[in-house]
Amino acid sequence: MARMREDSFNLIRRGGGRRGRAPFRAVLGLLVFVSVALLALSRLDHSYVRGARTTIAEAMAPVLSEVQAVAEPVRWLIEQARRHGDLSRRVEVLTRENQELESWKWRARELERQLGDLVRTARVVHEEKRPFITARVVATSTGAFVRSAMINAGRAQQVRVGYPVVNGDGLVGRIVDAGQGASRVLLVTDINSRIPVHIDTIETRALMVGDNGAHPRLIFQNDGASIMPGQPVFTSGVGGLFPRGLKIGEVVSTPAGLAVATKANLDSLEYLSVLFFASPALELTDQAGGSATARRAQATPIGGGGPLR
Amino acid sequence: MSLVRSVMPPLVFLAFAMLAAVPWGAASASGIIGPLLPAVVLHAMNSRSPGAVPEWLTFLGGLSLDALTQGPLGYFALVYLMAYVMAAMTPVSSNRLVSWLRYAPALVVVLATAWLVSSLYMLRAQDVMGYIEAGAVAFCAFPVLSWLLQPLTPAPVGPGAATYTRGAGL
Repeated sequence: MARMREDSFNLIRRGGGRRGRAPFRAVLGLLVFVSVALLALSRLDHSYVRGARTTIAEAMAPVLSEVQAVAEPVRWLIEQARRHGDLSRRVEVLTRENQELESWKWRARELERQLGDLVRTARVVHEEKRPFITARVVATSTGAFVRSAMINAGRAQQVRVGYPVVNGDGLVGRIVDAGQGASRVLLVTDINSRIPVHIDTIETRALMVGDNGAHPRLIFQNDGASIMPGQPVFTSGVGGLFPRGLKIGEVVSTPAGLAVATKANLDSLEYLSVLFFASPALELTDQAGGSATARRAQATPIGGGGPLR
Repeated sequence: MSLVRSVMPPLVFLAFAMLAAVPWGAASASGIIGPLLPAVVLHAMNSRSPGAVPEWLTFLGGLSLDALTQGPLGYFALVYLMAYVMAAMTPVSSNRLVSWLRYAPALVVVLATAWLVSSLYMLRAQDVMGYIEAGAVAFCAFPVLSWLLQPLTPAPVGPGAATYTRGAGL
């Protein structure tokens, strides 16, 4: 009887104790159950799971920053190998682009002169320069679920939910979780990313929709739009979440239809810049989408608190 | 078993779990190659010395990785627990080639679990090629990691540790 009770408690036994084999303990079954329960709660996007994820990620961010130092030589080697393999193709592309740019140079100078005249004539108000901070990517997403990156800057550095994130090549994504010292960037390729864009000219508009693949798709193009592969894609500013005119990439044709090849290489992000782009829509997003940490931070703002203007 | 040999396996496993979240700059179809390496480490150490990395630490390693990579909590925890079970069910062999070959079915089960859970979570079948790619890398990495980690892993308990049977209590 005692043996039966023991066996029912030990879900699976790994052999007999006499021969020195450790049993599978009941805790294993419990842990599997907890894992499945957490998965279910994550699927429901429960606020506790969101809060726990942000708290753990924020607590681990300093450790990850240190781990980066160990990873740096390997990362450098991978980058060098990729560059070397890509070198001949890049030279060819750059030579062709250089020829095209030479022919555009004289025209750009002429347009610049004309624009200067028009600005002076129309007395156009100059746009304010947009402040930004640059932070390091300390972790990236894995698996099929999400496309995101974690940076080592948060509310302590005035980062707020909704701020656009760019690198030297163009738009990368936007802030969706902001802790005190770390934030999460939702990449433009994520399945939850929806960005209004214009293609080539301001008249051609569409919605760029991520699908966790390499190229976000273009949907809801306006009627009569003529979109061709190779045309540049920019943010349109519609909806107020992104400023107008941020470079994203260019149109490519895929089996699923028209998509966007992002100029920024989202597989090898290292440093990202967060643009302090404040708008009424962003303030609402920051207040509604903030995690428990975010709410705590709003209650006790650092450095004056509130969105930057 | 020395203190170092009992402490090192959990630390190595957690270090690999941490490194899986670091951006390496290498693209992969499924993004699971990095996170699969802690499972390889777990198998290499636990199949040689059962319980070298305990199940609760396996769970914590997976959970930390889930949080750091902003994926659903519990996913890698479940995948690593499956790797733990498969490591415990794989008979130990002193022959490296046999150990390597015996790792193949365990790897297939772990990958199938990862693919199935991910497909169920997303409510659509995931691309199998990414998992096959990750499986190939993990299979090639196993003998190397197994050899590298051998000095850190406690020696097998004895000939009896080679097989595991269900329900064989005292």
